[in-house]
Amino acid sequence: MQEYRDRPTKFSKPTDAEVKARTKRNLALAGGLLLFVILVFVTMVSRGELPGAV
Amino acid sequence: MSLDTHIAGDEPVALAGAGLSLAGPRDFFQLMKPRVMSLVIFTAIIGLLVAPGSLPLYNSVMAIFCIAVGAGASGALNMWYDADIDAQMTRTKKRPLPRGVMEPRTALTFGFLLSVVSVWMLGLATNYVAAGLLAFTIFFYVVIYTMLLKRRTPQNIVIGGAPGALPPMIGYAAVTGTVTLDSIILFLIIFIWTPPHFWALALYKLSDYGRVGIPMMPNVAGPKSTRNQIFGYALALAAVAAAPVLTGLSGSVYGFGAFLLNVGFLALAFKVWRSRAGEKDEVQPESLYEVQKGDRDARNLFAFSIFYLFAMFALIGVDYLLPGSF
Repeated sequence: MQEYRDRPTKFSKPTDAEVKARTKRNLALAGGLLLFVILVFVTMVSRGELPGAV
Repeated sequence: MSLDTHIAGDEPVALAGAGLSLAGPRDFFQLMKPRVMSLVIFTAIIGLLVAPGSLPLYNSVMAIFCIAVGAGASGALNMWYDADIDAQMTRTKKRPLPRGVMEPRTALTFGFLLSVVSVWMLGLATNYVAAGLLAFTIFFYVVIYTMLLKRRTPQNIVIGGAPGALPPMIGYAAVTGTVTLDSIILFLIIFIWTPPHFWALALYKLSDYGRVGIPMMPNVAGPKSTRNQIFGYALALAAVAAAPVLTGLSGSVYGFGAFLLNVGFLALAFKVWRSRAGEKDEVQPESLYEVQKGDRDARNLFAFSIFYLFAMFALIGVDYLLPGSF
């Protein structure tokens, strides 16, 4: 069955600067998420709220 | 599979290539208003320091970190909402959104995520009174100040000064889990300081705010009324500055330093009061020098007010750390 939707017709390749900026942002996001997970873990441990934690 | 790089016709210039944002970490950092954040961090540390009781070092660092991130989040949300007027003012037109390196929804997502994370982490690391106060601060700054007051009333920065004044109270609450008279005094020092600080700036940056239709006091009530109010607030500030000595929050070192600082603040506010600062519209050629001199007085007060606030809180901290200063 035919599907109707707006299909993009114009495409362009990202420039080097755009790819570089996107890579940096992705790395920063990954780093931020990792830091967040670590901070939550350490905070829970510091409060003694993790089972078996000191 | 096709790449989602369709170009819309009305993309900002900086996004014109493939439609991907060029924003880098520096732009995101700029979105968090780092200069405002430095004041927030400093006053929050003092609040945390002078609060009775103690908090483990890790939790203290986390508390300051969360307060700073929360302040940064509200800065990002403010820039998201105010991008239209920021683009027209000299002071703000180089921010990431007016420059077109970042899409508004990116700033919105960034600010919203950081708000949730900072409040939740603060609650986890300290207590939910501090977290609640941080959430209130972000809400007040973004919704009450930015969305409701800023473009509607010349009292915008009077009422809108509250979120800027809350960080020491949050720092205090992080330790005690309460709001006390002492933490309210710390709040009041910044709250009463805000109007003369911003109105001194508005007096000599009058045209910038007027052009974008922000009803700052000099545009609405006129420069003379603003100068009167600046002096009135300076008197009120001197009275509030004495309160830490009266409640026993601070001792003689603070008392002496605060006395000198307030004499300086009052003297500069008095000079502004007597001057013709901000009267550019009605200026006659023969009185041009007087107006320029008045603007210099307003600039001096603005510059001193920044030093004043840092010094006042530094004195509260030093007084607390020095043994036997009472």
